[in-house]
Amino acid sequence: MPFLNAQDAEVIRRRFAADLDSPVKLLLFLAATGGLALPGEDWQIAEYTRQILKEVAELSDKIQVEEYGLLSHADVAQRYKVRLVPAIVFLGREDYGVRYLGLPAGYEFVTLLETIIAVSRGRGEVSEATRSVLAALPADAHVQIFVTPT
Amino acid sequence: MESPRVTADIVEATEFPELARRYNVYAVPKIVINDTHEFVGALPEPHFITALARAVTGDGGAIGRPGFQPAGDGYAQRREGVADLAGALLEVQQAMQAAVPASSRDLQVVEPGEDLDLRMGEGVAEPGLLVQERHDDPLGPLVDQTARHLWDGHNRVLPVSGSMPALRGA
Repeated sequence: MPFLNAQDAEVIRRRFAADLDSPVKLLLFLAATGGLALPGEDWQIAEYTRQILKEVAELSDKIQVEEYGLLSHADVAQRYKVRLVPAIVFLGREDYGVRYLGLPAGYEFVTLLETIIAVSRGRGEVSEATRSVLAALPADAHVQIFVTPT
Repeated sequence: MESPRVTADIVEATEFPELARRYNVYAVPKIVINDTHEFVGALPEPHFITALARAVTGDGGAIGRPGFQPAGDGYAQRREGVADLAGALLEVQQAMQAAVPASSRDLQVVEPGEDLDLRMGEGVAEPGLLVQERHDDPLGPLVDQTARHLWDGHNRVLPVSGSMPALRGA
């Protein structure tokens, strides 16, 4: 059963058509690929995540999903510094270092859509003053934002 | 996206309980920067970028104040960068100050050590001890808002974001 009803899908399709710029690649890291479940893995969350990304990718030809297993593609996981699954790596013109860990459902589905659009455009919506602070940062910042799906 | 120095993980807290435990996530959104700095709540952009800059420089809040001079070994090699940063932050804070509506300048001062029994859902995670820091800051009127923290009894402080009227009524 699809997550998105026809009406929501149409709204998102239009938003993507209007706002997407560069192609976006979503790298989905799961414990195992191909629908296999490892013992102890929450396969349902993995399956939902896979399904959500699939449906979103169908709404624009600029969005592409690639699926990797944390163990079976250890080299890829390492390259993108993925250690926990499910993880989504957002790639636009480059890797901007944006990751989503977990199932992007509920209110966080909006986060997924907005992140895709921002990565596609290659810039966020921040003020010039904020940009100058960012440009002057003397060291790296890794930001973790903890959310819940409601 | 705006800076190659900044990377971001959005973490669904209920699916990663180990991470949520490690970072004491009791309320969302909770933001952790470089494993060393944290706060709860969606801060307005100027506050967020200020918190980010302070976390990056590892400084307790001195940066961005007038006359701030980076010092010490940790800053030696990036002194110049920090000075640029301080200038940029001042701009952010001046813009922030200009945007403060007059009504929020009349915040009630709550004495340090005063116990407040805040209800859930009023912008803080749990009842705690309200502590107030006073320092000269270009934030000016916003000091009242940004320098208040709830000490939650776990050696952590939670910034009180947003609901100042709730605090006043408590």
